[in-house]
Amino acid sequence: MKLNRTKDWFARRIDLEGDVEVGAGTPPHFPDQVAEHANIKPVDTRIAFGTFVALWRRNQGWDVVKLAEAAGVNPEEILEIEHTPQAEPEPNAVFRLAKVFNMPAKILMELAGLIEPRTPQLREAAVRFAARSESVAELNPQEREAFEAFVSAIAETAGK
Amino acid sequence: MEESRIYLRNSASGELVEASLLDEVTDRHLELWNESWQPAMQAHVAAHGLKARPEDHHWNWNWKAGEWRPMLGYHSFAIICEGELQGLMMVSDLKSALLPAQFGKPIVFVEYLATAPWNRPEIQLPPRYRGVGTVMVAAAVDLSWELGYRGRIGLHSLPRAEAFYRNSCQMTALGKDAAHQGLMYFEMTEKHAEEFRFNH
Amino acid sequence: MAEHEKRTMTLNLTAREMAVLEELAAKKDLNKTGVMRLALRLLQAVDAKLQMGQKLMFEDEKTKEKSEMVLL
Repeated sequence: MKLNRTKDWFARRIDLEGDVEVGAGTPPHFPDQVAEHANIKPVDTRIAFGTFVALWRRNQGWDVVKLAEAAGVNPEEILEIEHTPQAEPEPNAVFRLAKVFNMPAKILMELAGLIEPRTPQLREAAVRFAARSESVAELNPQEREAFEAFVSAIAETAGK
Repeated sequence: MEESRIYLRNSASGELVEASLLDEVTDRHLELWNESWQPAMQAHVAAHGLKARPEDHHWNWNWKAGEWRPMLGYHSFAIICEGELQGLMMVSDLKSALLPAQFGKPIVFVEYLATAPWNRPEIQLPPRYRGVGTVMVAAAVDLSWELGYRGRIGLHSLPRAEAFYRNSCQMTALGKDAAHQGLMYFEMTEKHAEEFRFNH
Repeated sequence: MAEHEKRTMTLNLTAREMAVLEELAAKKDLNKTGVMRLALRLLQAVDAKLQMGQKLMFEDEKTKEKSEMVLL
């Protein structure tokens, strides 16, 4: 499709535009396709995702700033991931975290609710994990157990 | 893919600068989006906090993978000026008008229209280039005409852009749409489309 | 042939189909070709969603009752 206008047309109409915002709509976003067999919504796996990030970090003895530095992301982003499951995380941030955790990005993206859920076992493992752990100062034996079980679940899923 | 010569106004020099309108968003454009728009938006957020995060700070990666590309009913446009991505627009042509005067008639619906972060007054003052909005609306109107829709278009304006659509584009506001984050829904009538179509 | 150039096809429709085509054209303020092209785009879009495992549903605005439109 060709746009045919004179230079004069542009001059006149652009001046009408002025210095204003012009945005419309939002980038096309396919709604999360929730599997019918589970009432698990993206926010549920995101709770697990946030908890996982927090526990991984604490397992290393890192604070939020240290993890942010290691991943090359904004500390505010980490805080949002760990504490606000309603908010959708930045795909870039998730990719970078996957690198730091040495985990398949796809799995983390799925947990973060950024790509279509494809592995039901993963979602269920995530929800079980989130239910059993809490973000307190140190990993207690239960948390460690839950954490390790979840890591194996991820490894298993990645292996498929 | 067709390329049209267009003009944008450079705020610093006040000059009209030659630019290109492409009627297809390619992988290269998406790369440019990632390499230049994203960092600029992130820098803005870093300076002003998460509250300042633009609506389009990221989009669904499935979409980016090209699910929409084979779809006849979807069209995309990109504006390149001086080698940089200045604007993006995605439209669909499967929706119908809601304005009573043209109810039920097909329209070109603007799914997404955005100018580069450095062209937005909320991020940079003065904005680097002016005119992206005008060019994109003209493209949507021309496409509408090509499809036989007589220039009818519809869109949901971002809150601070309502003045542009209402005043510069002479579009009619129908009300805030709860199904689209409460954004104001606008339509352009065939009559007002004429002003965009011809060299008035 | 360049991508934007058009190809021609002869369409054989029954009298009823033609009547429907003309009625839709009048309603939508399109010519008959416009209607056929719109129909093609709609069918492709619907088909793509069906392939993704989604269903095409209608919802009654008042009762919120949903009914499925089955398409093969």
